[in-house]
Amino acid sequence: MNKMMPWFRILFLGLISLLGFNNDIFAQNTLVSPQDFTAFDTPNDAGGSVSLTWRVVPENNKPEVPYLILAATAPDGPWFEQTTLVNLKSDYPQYFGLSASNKLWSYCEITDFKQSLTDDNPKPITATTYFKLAVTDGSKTLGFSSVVSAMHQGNWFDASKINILIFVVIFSFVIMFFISLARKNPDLFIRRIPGLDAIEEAIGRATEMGKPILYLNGLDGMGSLSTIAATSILGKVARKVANYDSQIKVPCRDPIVMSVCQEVVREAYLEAGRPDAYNQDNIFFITDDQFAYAAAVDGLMVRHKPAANLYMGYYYAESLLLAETGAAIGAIQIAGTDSITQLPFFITTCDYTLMGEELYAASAYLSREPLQTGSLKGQDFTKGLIILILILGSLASTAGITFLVNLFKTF
Amino acid sequence: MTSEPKFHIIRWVIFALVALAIIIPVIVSEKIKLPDTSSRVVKNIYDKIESLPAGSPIILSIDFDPSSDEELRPMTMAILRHVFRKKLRVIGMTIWSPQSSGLMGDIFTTAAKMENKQDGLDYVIMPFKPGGSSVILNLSQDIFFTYPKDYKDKSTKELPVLKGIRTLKDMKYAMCISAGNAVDVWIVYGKEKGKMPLGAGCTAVMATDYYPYLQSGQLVGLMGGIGAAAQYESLIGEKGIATERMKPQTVVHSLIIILIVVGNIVYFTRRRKG
Amino acid sequence: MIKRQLPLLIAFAMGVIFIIQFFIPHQISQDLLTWVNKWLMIIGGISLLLGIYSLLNFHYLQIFRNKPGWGFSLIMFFSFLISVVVGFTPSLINVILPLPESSVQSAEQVKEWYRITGLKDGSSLDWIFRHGITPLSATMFSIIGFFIASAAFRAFRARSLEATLLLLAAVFIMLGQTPLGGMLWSGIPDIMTWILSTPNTAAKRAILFGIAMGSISFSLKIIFGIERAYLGGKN
Repeated sequence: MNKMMPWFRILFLGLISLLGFNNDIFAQNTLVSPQDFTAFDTPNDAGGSVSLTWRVVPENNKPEVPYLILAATAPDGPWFEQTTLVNLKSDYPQYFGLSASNKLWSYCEITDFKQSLTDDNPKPITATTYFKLAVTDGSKTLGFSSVVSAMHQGNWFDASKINILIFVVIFSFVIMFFISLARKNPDLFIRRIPGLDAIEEAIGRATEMGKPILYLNGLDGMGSLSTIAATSILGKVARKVANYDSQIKVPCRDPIVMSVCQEVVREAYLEAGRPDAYNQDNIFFITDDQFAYAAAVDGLMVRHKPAANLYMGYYYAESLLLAETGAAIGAIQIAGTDSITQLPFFITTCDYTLMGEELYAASAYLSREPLQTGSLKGQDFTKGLIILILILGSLASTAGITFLVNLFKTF
Repeated sequence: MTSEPKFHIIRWVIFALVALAIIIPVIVSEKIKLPDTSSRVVKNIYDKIESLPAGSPIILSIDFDPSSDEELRPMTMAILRHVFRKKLRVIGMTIWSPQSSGLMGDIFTTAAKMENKQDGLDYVIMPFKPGGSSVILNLSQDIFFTYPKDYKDKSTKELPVLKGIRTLKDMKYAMCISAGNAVDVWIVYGKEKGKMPLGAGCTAVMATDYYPYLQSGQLVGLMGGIGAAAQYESLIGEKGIATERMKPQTVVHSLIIILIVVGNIVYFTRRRKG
Repeated sequence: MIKRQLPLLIAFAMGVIFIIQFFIPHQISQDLLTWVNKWLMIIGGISLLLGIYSLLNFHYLQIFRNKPGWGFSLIMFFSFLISVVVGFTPSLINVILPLPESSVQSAEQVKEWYRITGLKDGSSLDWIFRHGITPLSATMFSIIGFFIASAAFRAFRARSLEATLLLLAAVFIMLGQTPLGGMLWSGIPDIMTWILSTPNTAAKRAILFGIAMGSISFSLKIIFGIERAYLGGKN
């Protein structure tokens, strides 16, 4: 037995070196074994993914791929090759934030269990999975890390969105504060918005001429804030129209918007004490096709020659088709949109244009209710705060300090 | 509200002039010779490609679908013909939509026929892979792992065009032609990981969004719409569809400027008369 | 009372739930969002019937009351009828008289029959879409080119300093985007680039900032029931 030992030892060492457990090979290839290899559930996600990290070692940072991830369903195997794609933790700020130390950690996200590197039909991970990391020189394996395990789970809070949450809370408190302030002092100053002042004039003109007013809510559905703002303004406009005993026509692109507009206008006529004057047929659906809608509204304008056209809400390429036809028939035109790309078209063709946030402020401006004006003040205060942060952030960035900029990054 | 008298007549005259300004240049297109000009941002892309030695690998990311084909195909074609002539190795890919792959195949095949280039030898088209930024991140690690097979289902490891290439860092230049937000993704992930010069092409209305990236040096150049494509065609000396389309566009732009001048003369004359 | 309070309560509850949902990445939260979105699509589909009724009623009244342009309403009815017939008939035929697989036709012919009569690519309804709606939309879109000229003629007047600056910017951009600009003066394309990258970007960002703040504030007002004019009646 003793005579056999040296042969056995040589055979054993040979096998070990073939398997790549010999540290001398690491020395020859100047590669080092992986350090602090860990597996854990990927944070801030819906589940379904496991994260693997280990320290970046300069010796292994070479163009040829030195790492191979292996996985198994039991701690002792069998082991299956998963991937050679390795990034840095800093490449995934949505999971790990913007900490500078993320650049010191290699990272690999595993979502599926493969039978081989080229497995085209991998299965999702459903149970605790075991991983080990192999260091390769591109062709053969030189060494393995220790075995680690993890199971994925869905997370109940996305920590990468914490800055948004803080901002929402602060913003809500500022709005509430200014609303309570407005209740105590209802005469808060709001700057003049000529476009909204002109609505009264436009309705007056329409009444004198005996022609209708055309009101458009934009092309978006009821889920869009612009459309909600437009229907809010419609309520105010319809009330004035009812008071003046004029007529309003509202062609709609969305049946839900149409139903809401019918309700809004009906209520407005009711409030004005003129329920008999309300005509549901004046608020109608045309089509949900963009250019067919534009063609139909243009046709309405040419045939009915409204005295005033009000374009509120969100518009796309059809904006100029509508507003230029309106200009050609000589109507007073007032537009209000938060669609930046269409603003220039409205500005050149309309008499007044509410730009961006003015559309949202219109409801508060027209109603002058403390609750509404207070929220407007709160919004302005927060905007001032953000302008200040913007200036400080620009200065800090110029000086090479990224902390303030990172605070406002979203993922 | 239009207060000008007889405006409807003036309007119809303007419409007629615009119609003529489009129709006439299309009819007498061959007789119109426009000067070759190039804006700095377009020429930067041309200069970058010119500076690359033959055999340099580059990536062309075609991130648009058939809806933007009319506007973006001419610039893609011009760029492709230029890189083929420079004997660069082109990797065509997309992070946008499955439809982009088919479109890319069509554009690459047409350009390759014109410049007598071979699939697999001078260029390769990769299939669409979902994931956007993840695809680019994976490319920064291993092109062959990200795309084990090309668009025609050939093993990428066996393609001569990819010889000696392994990651994004091996690329000498990358260009993203997009009708959506793919340029942003390439700036954030591709440029950051690959460190190669990055150029961008987009629709004319989107171009203004990317000017800040030119100032910061994250983009070497920018091409917006048909105008930029026409400029590029003149730079490579291969005037095509974009140059043709620029003729009516130039005439209409000139007409609008003349109309603005006339409008102002009328306005000031009236104002002087009180 | 309930007619007024219930929608406000729904708006508040859904608003708060979906603000919280935004911060929860868990699958349950994602499933909730998908579920609500599906319901929105269902409601949207049902509301289309309401829209069709409104459309037909409007055009019926146009014709019935002999209003100006009633002929267009007649064309609308005609187009509507053709679309409905072309859209539904093949499906009905497919249901009532399905083409037997064992018939004398070859498999290719069967496939072709389904292709032409079905609702997919190459079907009759698809033909109407491709050769009717698409060119009509393109025609409407191309009219923008004419309208831009007319709007520019009317709007770009040097009435004030601001208007003059706007006018000059427009001229430089239009010249710079064609070979004409460079032909007149080589600096024009550079001026165009500067206008687009500096004042244009600055103004765009400022407006975007205002829109972002305005939309957050407006959303909060809807959630907390401060903004309720969209429900009709007084705030």
